[in-house]
Amino acid sequence: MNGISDEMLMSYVDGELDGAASARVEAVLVHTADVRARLAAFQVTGRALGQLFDRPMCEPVPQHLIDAVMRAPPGGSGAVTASATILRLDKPLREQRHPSPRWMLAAACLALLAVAAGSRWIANETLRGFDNSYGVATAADGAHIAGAQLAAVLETTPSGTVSVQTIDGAHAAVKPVLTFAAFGGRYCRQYEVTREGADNALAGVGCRDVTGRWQVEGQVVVVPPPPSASVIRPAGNGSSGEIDAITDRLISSEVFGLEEEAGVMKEGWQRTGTPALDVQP
Amino acid sequence: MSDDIRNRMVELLPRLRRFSYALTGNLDEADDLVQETCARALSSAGQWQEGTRLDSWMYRIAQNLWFDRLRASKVRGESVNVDTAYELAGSDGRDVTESQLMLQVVSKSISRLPADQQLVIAHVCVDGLSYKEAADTLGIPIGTVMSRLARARQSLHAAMMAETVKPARTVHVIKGGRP
Repeated sequence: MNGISDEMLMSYVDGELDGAASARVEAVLVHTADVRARLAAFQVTGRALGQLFDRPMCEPVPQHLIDAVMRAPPGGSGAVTASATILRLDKPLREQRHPSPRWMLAAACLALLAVAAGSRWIANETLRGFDNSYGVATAADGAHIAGAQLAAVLETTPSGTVSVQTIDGAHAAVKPVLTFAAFGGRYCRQYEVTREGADNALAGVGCRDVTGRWQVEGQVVVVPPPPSASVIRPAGNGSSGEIDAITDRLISSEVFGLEEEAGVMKEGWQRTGTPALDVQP
Repeated sequence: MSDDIRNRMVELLPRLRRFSYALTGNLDEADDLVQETCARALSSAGQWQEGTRLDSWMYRIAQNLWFDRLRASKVRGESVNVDTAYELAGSDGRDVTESQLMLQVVSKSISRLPADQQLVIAHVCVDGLSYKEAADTLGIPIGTVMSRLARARQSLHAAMMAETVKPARTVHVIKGGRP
């Protein structure tokens, strides 16, 4: 058990531990793949997952329910307050402890509205975690696609290893941070970019799509530059809450260890889902 | 009964609907449960004590009604009806999104958990209560909330992984690779 119970790992993910206890958990996480694997079960089933049920927070309450409360046996006035509250964002304590709670609920509502409108909701959410396009191109369909240099690093460089590239005429150190599998069968990687002469760094997450493009799901400025050489950066503790929030939304497995990552890379990032697209004719 | 309490109940409706949605996996059924909860709360409003949390009190009513329903459906041998309502409302059939598929997988997985585990998931992961608040609402020690929630989330994770791993196995068989 490495001295860390399931309950403690879960409390860490849920932000229920104090700083000292969190630090103890993190110290073990960095060194122990087994504990990271156990952590994954709690990361993917937390509040991020609960957001799937946020639709009632984003739409009007049906009138018959309001009537059921306001119209009343004992001395009901019948004067119904029809303006009943949608989109109440004053949610309980949990939200205040999490890094970007209001953002998350707002994004969930946006996402649901987008679904209702029949559009691609991921695009909406991506915009919120995308404030810098260095090394990234925009495709005809509006997707953010990693440019050749960034894509090359994501394709071949192990996590924790820095690769120096020349992008837009300037040197930049690009370092994949970690790799994970996403729902839908894609592989995704968090990365960091430190540009020559820039006093901030960038953090991003890219996912390899079925055509081999690395689609950038988010890329944001982080100040100050992220700490170097930490291969594992537990969710919620990283330098970018946005990137971690995107990761939380996407991830379907534990974060890969270096060996596992090397295996996936060697196999050419063969996808793990959607068999129809993978099957050879 | 004062209109003040009624107004406060109406303000709770979005959260109560979301909580019920997590339990039932279906918005129509969730609204039934919410309506019954409101009726029960209004008819026994005298039992609620001013100064205590109205939301906790209403959640307790809702969860008791949910237990009754689960027991009744078990006796009748029904299965839980998950989420067709969402699918129809959220999509025109052309574009089933990732989040909708996820919602179906998660709803199905929750419906297979024991009722006490469903409740901690709904309180903490969906409604966003702290462990302490969930313990107060459920009337159980915080340690019990934690162990129950940890087990529930491990089961949920296993069920979700089983859903996402299935296609991968198919691929391997078709390609004649690993069995």
